[in-house]
Amino acid sequence: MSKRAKFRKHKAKPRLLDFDKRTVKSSQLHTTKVATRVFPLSTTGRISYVYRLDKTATVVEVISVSYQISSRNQWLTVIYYDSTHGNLHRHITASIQNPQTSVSTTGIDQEKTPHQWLTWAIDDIKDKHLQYRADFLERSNPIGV
Amino acid sequence: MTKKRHTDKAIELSHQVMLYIIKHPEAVKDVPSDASFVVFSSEDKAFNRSNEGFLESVVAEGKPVVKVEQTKSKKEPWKFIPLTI
Repeated sequence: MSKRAKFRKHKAKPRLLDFDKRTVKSSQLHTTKVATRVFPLSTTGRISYVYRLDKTATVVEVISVSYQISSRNQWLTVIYYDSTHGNLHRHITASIQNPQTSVSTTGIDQEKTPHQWLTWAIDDIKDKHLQYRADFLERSNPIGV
Repeated sequence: MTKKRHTDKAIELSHQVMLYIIKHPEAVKDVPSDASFVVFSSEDKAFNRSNEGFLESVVAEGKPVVKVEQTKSKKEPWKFIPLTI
């Protein structure tokens, strides 16, 4: 058998993406769709929800639920949630000057479905957005505000 | 209306709308997935007046915008009106 024939016979298998098995499998990606919903709250604040739905419109992954504020004509993410790797967790941005985030799962019940996680993240931002914003601005250098 | 009150009201309404959208995805099936939703109350006239000007600024950004009006119907508590697609 020639080398060409040998390689033609073996088709490469789809490469599995780096997702936890509890989240969407690569074979399911083409049957899901991503929904993005942005809610501007004022000229300086907005909340956006990005999540993946399956064929039955059930939430299968929380891609990003984020609360952002505007400063000097740019949007800064104060906090966001995602369920990549199979667990819902929050990323808290350090400050305006430092875009690094710290990851936390405090208060998050991991024994829930992605649909419940999305609802939980929505509730959490509604209840605590003022605190998250105040903490973020306090961590930021006031000169940079 | 103060900015804080406006933001608090906007968050409260967007929270309700988002929970409705999750439960009734068919309500926004014709809405582009990257649209901005600006929510109006069925009762708070002061908030709605404040929101009208804000809506114009969102539309001026050039992205798809949907005006969401709260109704008094229990069956369809929210009405989605695409302004720009």
